[in-house]
Amino acid sequence: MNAPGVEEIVVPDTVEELLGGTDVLHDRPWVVIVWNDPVNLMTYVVMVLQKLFGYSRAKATRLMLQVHNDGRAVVANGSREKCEADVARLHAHGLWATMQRDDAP
Amino acid sequence: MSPAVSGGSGDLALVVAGDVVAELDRIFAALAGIVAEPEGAVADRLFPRAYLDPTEDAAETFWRLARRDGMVTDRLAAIEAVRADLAGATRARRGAYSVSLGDGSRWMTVCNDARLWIGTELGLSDEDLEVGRGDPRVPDYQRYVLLTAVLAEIVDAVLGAMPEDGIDDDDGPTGLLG
Repeated sequence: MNAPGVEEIVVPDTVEELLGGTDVLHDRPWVVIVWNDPVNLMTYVVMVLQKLFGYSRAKATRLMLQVHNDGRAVVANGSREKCEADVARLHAHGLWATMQRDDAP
Repeated sequence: MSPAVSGGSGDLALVVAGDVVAELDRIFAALAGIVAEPEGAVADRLFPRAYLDPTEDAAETFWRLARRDGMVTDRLAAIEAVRADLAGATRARRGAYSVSLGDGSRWMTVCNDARLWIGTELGLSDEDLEVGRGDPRVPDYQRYVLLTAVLAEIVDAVLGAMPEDGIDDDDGPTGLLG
C-alpha cells in the first residue's frame, strides 16, 4: 500500500501490457507470414520450416511452394508473444517473415 | 573443384580448394562489419520489420528494442565460430582442404546472411541474374555463386539426414491467408 499522495507507477513487462492487453481481452490470434524473396534457396526454406516448426518434409515443401508461387504463406499462428518469437527465429535464419492479426487484410 | 560436403547425420565436413578457404574467410570477415553496422536495403533485409501494419509501430519499436542487440550478437558469434572453423582447415588431399562444419547450422545461417547481403547489393530480382564479362558486379556475383554452391551442399546434407515425418496436425497453419 502506498503512502498518502504517492502514486504507484507500474512499468509494463510485455508488449501486451504496454498496448493494453487487447489480445488477451479479445483473444484475437496472430499469424506468421513468410514472404518470397529472390535469394533464399527453396531447399533452405524447407529445411528451416522443418527445423523450427517440426513440420514434415511434405508440409514444409508445400508451404515453401506457396511462398514461391503466391508470394507469401502463413507458416505459424498463436499468441502475439509466440508469433514474435517465431518471427525472430525466422529472421535469425534469414527468412523474410512478418506477423499480423489473423483477421487483417 | 566444386565444394563438397560429407558427413550426413554426424559432423559435416566441407572439402574445398585452398583458395576457397581464404575467399570464404574474406567474405565472412566483411560480413561481420556489415552485420555490426548495416545500412539501407541491406539492413532492411538482414533485420526486417516484424510488423508491416503501421498501426503496430509501437509494438515494432518494442520488438526491436527487445531483440535487435541479441540478433546482432548471435550473428557475430556465428561468424566468429565459422571463421574459426576455416582457420582450423586441414589438408585433405592434393590441393584440397577439409573444413569441419559441426552440424552445419552456423554455416548455413552465415552463408545465407552473406548471400542476403551480396544479393541485396547486386539488386537480385531472381536467381537467374546474368552478369557479363566486364561488368563491375562480376567479383560480387562470383562470391554469391560460391556461397550458393557451399550453402546448397550443406543444406542437401542436412536435409538428407533429417526425418521426413513431422508433428503436423490438421489445426496448424494451412499456408492460406484468409
